Amino acid sequence: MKLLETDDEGSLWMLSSRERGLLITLFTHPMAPRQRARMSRNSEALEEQCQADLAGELEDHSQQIRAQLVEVVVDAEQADSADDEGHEWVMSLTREDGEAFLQALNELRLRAWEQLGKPNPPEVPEDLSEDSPDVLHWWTLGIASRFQSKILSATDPE
Amino acid sequence: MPGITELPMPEVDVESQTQSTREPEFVVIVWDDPVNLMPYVTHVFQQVFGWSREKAQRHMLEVHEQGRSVVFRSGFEKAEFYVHALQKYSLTATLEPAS
Repeated sequence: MKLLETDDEGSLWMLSSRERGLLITLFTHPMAPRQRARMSRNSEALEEQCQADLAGELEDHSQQIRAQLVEVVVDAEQADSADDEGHEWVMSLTREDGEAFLQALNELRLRAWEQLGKPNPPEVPEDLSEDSPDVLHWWTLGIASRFQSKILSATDPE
Repeated sequence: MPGITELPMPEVDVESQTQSTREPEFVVIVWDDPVNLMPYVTHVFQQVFGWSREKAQRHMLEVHEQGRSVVFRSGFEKAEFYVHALQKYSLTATLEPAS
């Protein structure tokens, strides 16, 4: 995934076929719902008041942006150039899409981390067996982190 | 972002809303967690609050090093709005009565 150009309106990215496939998989693969986010740590009254307002909003938002991003990735146009991996694709992101991308990738990371039991630090255990059900969650955490870091380093350079 | 959670409330360097009435004040706190990446947290602060990179990084480091940062102080509705905005980015953010 490589940034081609960016301006105030948005950005253009080059994706390999593999990267495009990975993003579609990430955004369409069914995941367990996130654990409910607390709205207050110090006040149960506030917690109850806010949760009534929040009910379902975060989950709906999450599903909505993932669906939006699948369309964005699927709509990427085939580039003229080709590398060893095959075709390359040019993906156009509006600024809003770019933020949705970061939100969705981070949310997938958080879901995977929660499914793994919130390891601290979040590092793959050396004794992880290939047939462990955790492999999928570690894979999701790793791949989503890689895409997230690429977008951040390209759009927010130090 | 490993950190410590039991620390006194840090000094607040945030956008404060002038209260024309005696409406109760609330603070928005972002808490440390081991999974959100530091550049991502900085990015979110810039996007949500429109802060400069320097200010966003200062608050990100406060979260990382002290376990939490007070990022906003206001009446209930605005504070709740910002908690929702931060939670949409999956940050660990809560709303607490201002002490």
